[in-house]
Amino acid sequence: MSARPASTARSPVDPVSFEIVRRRLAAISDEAAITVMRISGSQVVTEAADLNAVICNRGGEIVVSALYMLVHTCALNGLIRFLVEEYVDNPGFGPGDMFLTNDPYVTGLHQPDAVLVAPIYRDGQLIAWCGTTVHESDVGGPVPGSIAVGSRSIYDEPIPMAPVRIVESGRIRRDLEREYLIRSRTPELNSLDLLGQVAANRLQTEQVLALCERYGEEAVTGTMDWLIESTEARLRERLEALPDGRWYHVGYVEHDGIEDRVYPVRLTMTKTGGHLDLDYTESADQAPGLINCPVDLTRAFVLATLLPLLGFDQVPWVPAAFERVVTLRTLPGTVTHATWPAGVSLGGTSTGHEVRTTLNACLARMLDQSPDDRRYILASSMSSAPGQTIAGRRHDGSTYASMLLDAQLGGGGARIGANGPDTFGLLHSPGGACANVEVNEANFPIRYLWRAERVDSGGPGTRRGGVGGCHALTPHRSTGPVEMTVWAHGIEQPAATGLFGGEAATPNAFIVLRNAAGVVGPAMAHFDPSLLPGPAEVPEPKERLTVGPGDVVLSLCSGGGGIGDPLDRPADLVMADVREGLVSPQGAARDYGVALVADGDCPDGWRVEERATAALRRRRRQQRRVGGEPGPGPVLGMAGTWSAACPRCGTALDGPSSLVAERLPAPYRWTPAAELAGTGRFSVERVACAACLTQLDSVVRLTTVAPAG
Amino acid sequence: MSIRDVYIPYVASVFSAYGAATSDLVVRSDAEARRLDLHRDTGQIDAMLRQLETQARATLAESGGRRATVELRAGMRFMRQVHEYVVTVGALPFDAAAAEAVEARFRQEYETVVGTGSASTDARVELVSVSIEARLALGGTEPGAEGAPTSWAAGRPGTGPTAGSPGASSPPTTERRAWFDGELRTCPVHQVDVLPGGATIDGPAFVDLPTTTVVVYPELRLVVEPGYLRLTAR
Repeated sequence: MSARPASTARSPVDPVSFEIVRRRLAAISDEAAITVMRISGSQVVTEAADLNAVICNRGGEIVVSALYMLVHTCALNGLIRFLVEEYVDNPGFGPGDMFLTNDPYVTGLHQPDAVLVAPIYRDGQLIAWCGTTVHESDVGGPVPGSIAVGSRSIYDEPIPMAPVRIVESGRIRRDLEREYLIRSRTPELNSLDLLGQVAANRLQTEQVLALCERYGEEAVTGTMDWLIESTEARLRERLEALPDGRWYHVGYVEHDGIEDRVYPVRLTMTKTGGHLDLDYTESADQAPGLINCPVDLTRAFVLATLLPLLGFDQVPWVPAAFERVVTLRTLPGTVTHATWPAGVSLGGTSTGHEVRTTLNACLARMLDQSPDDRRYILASSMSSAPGQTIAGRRHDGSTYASMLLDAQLGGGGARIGANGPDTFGLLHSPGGACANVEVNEANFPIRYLWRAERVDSGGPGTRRGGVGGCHALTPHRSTGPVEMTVWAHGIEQPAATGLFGGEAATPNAFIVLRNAAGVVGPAMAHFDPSLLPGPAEVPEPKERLTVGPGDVVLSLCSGGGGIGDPLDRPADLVMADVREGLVSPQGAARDYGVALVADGDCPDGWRVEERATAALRRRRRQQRRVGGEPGPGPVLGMAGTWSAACPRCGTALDGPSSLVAERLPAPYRWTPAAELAGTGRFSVERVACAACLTQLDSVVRLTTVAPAG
Repeated sequence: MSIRDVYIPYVASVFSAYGAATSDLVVRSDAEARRLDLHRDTGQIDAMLRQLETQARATLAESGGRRATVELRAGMRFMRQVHEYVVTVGALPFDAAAAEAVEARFRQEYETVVGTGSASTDARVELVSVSIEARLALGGTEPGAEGAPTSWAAGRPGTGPTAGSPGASSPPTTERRAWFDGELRTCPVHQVDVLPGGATIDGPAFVDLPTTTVVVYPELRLVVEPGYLRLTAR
């Protein structure tokens, strides 16, 4: 693999040194992240890898990022810019200094994410920057775990720590360390995380300086600069080879932690030549609650989406280069550009995820214009995540508070030529994982009844979206109840969108069963919701719960979106999915029009009934006519102009009359969501070509943003 | 290459010949101690260390070796870290003062690895395991050295034949056909465990060891010597 130089400019570094140094820089940042993991005692870090490390050039542009929680580091240059603009004279910075902050309005993250950056000096001259990020178990605030559901501003959330020079000339300032730790319910763990970050930044500094000794300072700094320039040139070439165009997508965040209002995130993406214009200015006004993104968090999600989706075919993932080909437009006071003191402690896993999903959808439409690049298209992976924080006392009286990261088990979006990966995780966190069940059980007074793949959760399509994960847990050896905060969006509506007729994945979900630990068995991981024992509580999309002995909390991740008309998926592949436990026999009929009949002679107990399947699919296609034209609003990713043709029959799609639509209530694939009044505001419109009845799109429609009821 | 003799130890396929033939005999054992508190449970920790030492000395005593030296160790970490760092524990008894000394040693050595100021004052230190390394010096076991074990498998406690008469031979247990010098020949195959010390085998022949096979080429002679096989030119 080679970082191909730009066509006209020339590298200031010889090609061999360039390759060696850039790969060494990547190894250094990876080693730094591993260092934090080895020093930390928090399962959020050691198991789930909710951290990252980064190296920047002297100007603070991000050259190399490790591949753990990628979104942590994509906009870290905002913090460096702040230090240069605000602190250069007072308190100043020099060799051996490090700055710590968890201020989302500076870091572009949320309060639990602590960021530590360090300038790198050689012979008294600033030559580079490095940094690390860690998601802390708890950084204080009114809600254990620090996701402040119910907050009405940042003053109700963990009060962030402004950037402070916590390491001075290599010496950790214990007074500032104390100031940082005193806020937390988990000071022991946070202390180790901080010391891990210090060690990691020291490592990066030492290794970059050693690289300068070995290859020369100019080779190192030159490599950083050339890596940005050459990658930018390659990206522009890639974009210039694609037709210009404009695409549109809207995603929805329901519930801001206070009330169940809906906040649309609207993107209009315009590609002109070698440039992308991303316009989020039509997004909703910022919310009273915690779902808002500071603009740097929006920027971080944009970059963490562009890297995996445009950085294919060996283009180096250099955030600074990707940033250069993008203009990001946001409007202050909206959910994608929150202004102080708007609550932001869940900005990423709400609005941020919709920033990612909308961009994902638009990029797919853009790449669809290129026969060569279509194969890199990915439908949306799980959007949002059914997150949980837990807190309370163990049987020995000790306290705990932490986030569980089982929610990182969402399904991946389908590709043009393949199903989406199952329990894929988060697109913007390539190295993220979830903690082992045994680790969580050892650390906290909880017991898992199961963790499994969630049947029928992948978006139906010719290529199926990957299925998500699910789990059920109950308090175990807990002194008193477990205080739990649950949060997600994409609960009342399917947020992980499909493409080209593929459908969105089954929504995220929580279910609470009171006094049910004795009757909920692992077999229910593959359940029909109607079989759940006793009355089930369906929490609001953001809610604080008290979970007592015997109570069971189910958390179910969305899958990834599908690609292509589900009725075109070969029946034998659907049967294979049933055999794998990824699709239920009922789902095969409902989602794919495949009729299975019980057959004791077949190894799986089922076989495809060919004639019934053909008849069912014929009937399904005819049903697509019944809704008439699509309702108002964009379809096929087109914004305003109609310029498409049916890929099946070639009919020009030049207006609503060229399409037919079938409308379904939003919970059509996940009936427990009907328990939530807000679900009734959403519907799903399956859009098909009026001529050949091939399904071409699947769109979520919203009737009102106001709270239901 | 002017190599006159090739020495082949019992575990030839695993270790270097020289290292296996000359290394000390070492017994290591450990025990999980995660449920114990370093400062509160010194009595139990002391008992675990004593038990490990007793077991290790007993194991070495069966080898008839000289008096072994032992080093007691404690695997420690800050709370819930994934990896442990092992520090030396001083002489028994393991009491409150020993616990203090061990924690201080852990913090000091941790900083040499992770960096100055990195031993958190806020995080608890956890005891993860206790272990022992008992070492029996096999001084003089270099090939041909005085005092080397007198049987082929002396380095492997409890197995192997006793020394036989120098120069004695032992009948092969089976045969194997093999090409040597362009000629397919029927060659004897010997099992090492039944070869008496001092036995000689002229090539072509094979000697089967538990983990490998020694090929004795036609121009070579194999001699069973104390603790190893020696290949030499005929």
